[in-house]
Amino acid sequence: MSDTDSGSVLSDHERTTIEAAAARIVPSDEGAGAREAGVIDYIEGLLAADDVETDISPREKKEYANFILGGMGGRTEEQQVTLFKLHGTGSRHLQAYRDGVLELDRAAAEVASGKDFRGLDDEGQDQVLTALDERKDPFFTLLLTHTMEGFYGHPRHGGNKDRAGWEVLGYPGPSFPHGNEKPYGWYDANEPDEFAEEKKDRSS
Amino acid sequence: MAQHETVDVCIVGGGASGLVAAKELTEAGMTVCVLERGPWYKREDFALGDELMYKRRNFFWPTVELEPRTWRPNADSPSEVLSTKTQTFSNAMCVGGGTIHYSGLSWRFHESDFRVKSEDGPVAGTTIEDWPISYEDMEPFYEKAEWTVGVSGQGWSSPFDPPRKRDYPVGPAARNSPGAALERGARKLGLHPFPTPLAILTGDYDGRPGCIGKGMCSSYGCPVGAKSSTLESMLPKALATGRLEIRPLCLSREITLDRQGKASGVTYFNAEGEEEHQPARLVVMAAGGVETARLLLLSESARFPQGLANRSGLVGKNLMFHSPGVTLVVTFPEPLDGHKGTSSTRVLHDFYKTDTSRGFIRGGFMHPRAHGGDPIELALRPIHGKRWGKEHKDSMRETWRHYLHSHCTGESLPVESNAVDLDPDLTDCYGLPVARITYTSHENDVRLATYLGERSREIYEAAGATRIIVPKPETRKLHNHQMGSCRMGNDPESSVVDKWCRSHDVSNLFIVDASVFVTGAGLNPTLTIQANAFRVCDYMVTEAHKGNLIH
Repeated sequence: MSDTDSGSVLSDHERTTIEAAAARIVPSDEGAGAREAGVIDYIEGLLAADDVETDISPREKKEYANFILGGMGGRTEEQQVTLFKLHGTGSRHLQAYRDGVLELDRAAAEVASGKDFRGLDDEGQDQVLTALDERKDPFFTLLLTHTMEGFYGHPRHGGNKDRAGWEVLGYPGPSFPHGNEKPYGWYDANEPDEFAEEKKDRSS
Repeated sequence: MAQHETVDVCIVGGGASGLVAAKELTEAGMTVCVLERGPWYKREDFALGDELMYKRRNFFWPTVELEPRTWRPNADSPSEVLSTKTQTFSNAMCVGGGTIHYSGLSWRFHESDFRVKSEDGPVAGTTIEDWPISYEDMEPFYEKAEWTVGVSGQGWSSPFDPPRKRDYPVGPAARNSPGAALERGARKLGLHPFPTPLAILTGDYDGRPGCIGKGMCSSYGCPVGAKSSTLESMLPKALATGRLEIRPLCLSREITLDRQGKASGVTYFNAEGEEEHQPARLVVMAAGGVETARLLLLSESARFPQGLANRSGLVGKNLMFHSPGVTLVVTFPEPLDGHKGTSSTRVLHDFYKTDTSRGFIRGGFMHPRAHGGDPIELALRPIHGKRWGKEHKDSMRETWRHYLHSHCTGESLPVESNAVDLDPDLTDCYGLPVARITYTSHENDVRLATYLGERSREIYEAAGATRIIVPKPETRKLHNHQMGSCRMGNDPESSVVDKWCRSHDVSNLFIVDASVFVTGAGLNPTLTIQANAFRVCDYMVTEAHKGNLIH
């Protein structure tokens, strides 16, 4: 996947508007927020896949996915990425995002006449997003979900840059292949364990 | 249509039970073909540690666009297409099936679980029955399953366990902090926590390594090979016989019949979507409680107008998903670090036996789980006060190392109207009617689930939890515990298969998944599915040697 591919589906205005909204969902503070973690790149990657999908029938999509899955041993990084996108959330999101940006700008103009969403300050943007959230707007839920995925998900999908999202939590990330040593947490280290005595002979 | 060479046995479904049957029957000298609708992943395919790909996308499950299922609460209501989220709370469709991503809880059902009607029945609105087999019939096969699958645990550590003759082959998993926190609360209340028996090796056994405590266990495949999925425990042995062919990406569409009305093989779509036929002397269904029933119903003919092996009319009926599980979210003052270790290490069975003073019959168990390392799932849980913004982010920081979720699993009573049938209005990408699930929990199930949730709350209060969220029981529309849809029994009028899990109507057709369960116990079903599959295969091999099965 090249940057041009993933960057081609949204206009600059759409991209920066979505980026600004994501940055209110996971704001930057003493730690990284959605902006620093590159959540917009994750979202654009997903939307680019939706753009690719439109010409493929469900049956062809399944066959293509099967083709890739059937040969896991020999798959390339590119095939993995394509597979991930093909097995995406199973619906078309690009239009929802385009409509969503229009809605954000429309609502922004109600908050401050003549401004679009990007032109609002943090409080104004929060006001717009809160209104969407309170009326259970499906685009807002989609954006919220994708923002969390892009912030806390595996960096291999374009977001969580430099593990910024995991850093916020103090999560070292997946531990395979080294695993974890005991004790795991405070309670298993400190609570008496009556079953700790391992029986040796299990043969009978 | 392409015709393959005749095999002794064609098994539909390469999951928990199908690969047990593949191993047992090939080792007994039979030639076997397994048709599996999903891909054949290998151990190394699970190495990516990727919550997004494995858990939130359709790596394990078909998409709702291609292979949807529908649900309705009852026959008078319209059905809805199940969401991606619900669909992913089902069994993986790949070689190994649900055992690839399960938590591995490996129970022997208790003695009373095989005789629910005698002990607690009858109950209005249910079809509870006794099983045609007892715990004593199952005991040797539980032992065989524990030692062949590879289950870790500590025998005789639970005062509630049914009798056993032999310990587990390897000792219990290292206790995690959620388990230790449960113990702290349970002991204060005089309860009896004990180590969870898990299909996860804790040391070298049978050529595989022990668990390395890496987390990402439940909902994930195991790249270590420590989880005793049938991909790891059964398939290599079956392949080593040289008598197994496993065909991934092959969706079965019909069990075919010969002129005498016996099963003659299986017609399926291959990976390219072309139809092929696999002739076989015996057909074994192992596609799970939803898809086994669906395939029988799809296999209608002049001889079986309401679906194959369905003279009783009960194929698809009495579906059980377990009680509408309450999942608590609990936080503690000190770190639990739930991203480490196996998901479950301590459980409580104190509320398993019927106590009618509680206002319901039967029971279940509870156990806290380490989350395994799923920050997206935590971010989307409705526990943060705010769904987004600075407050949400701070809540994530405070919660991440300090939370566990705690499961309550309880028995669900069989109800005849809870069923799988063919959706009259919706087809999948193969053009076949999809499974339509009709399901509403019996009142007993809801009371039981509520009760277990409240007992859990008391235990975590006693353990010193800072926050305990107990949701209300939610209707299950689909679940990975799919039981009862082809129940076994002695009477052909009131059951689909006999006590050997052989169709009453088609003498060379067997079912070895949880469809045959008469009641569902309050425990994860996999070890019982597998022990029963060992039992049925033992019978099949004995009968075959007598010349009664394969001519």
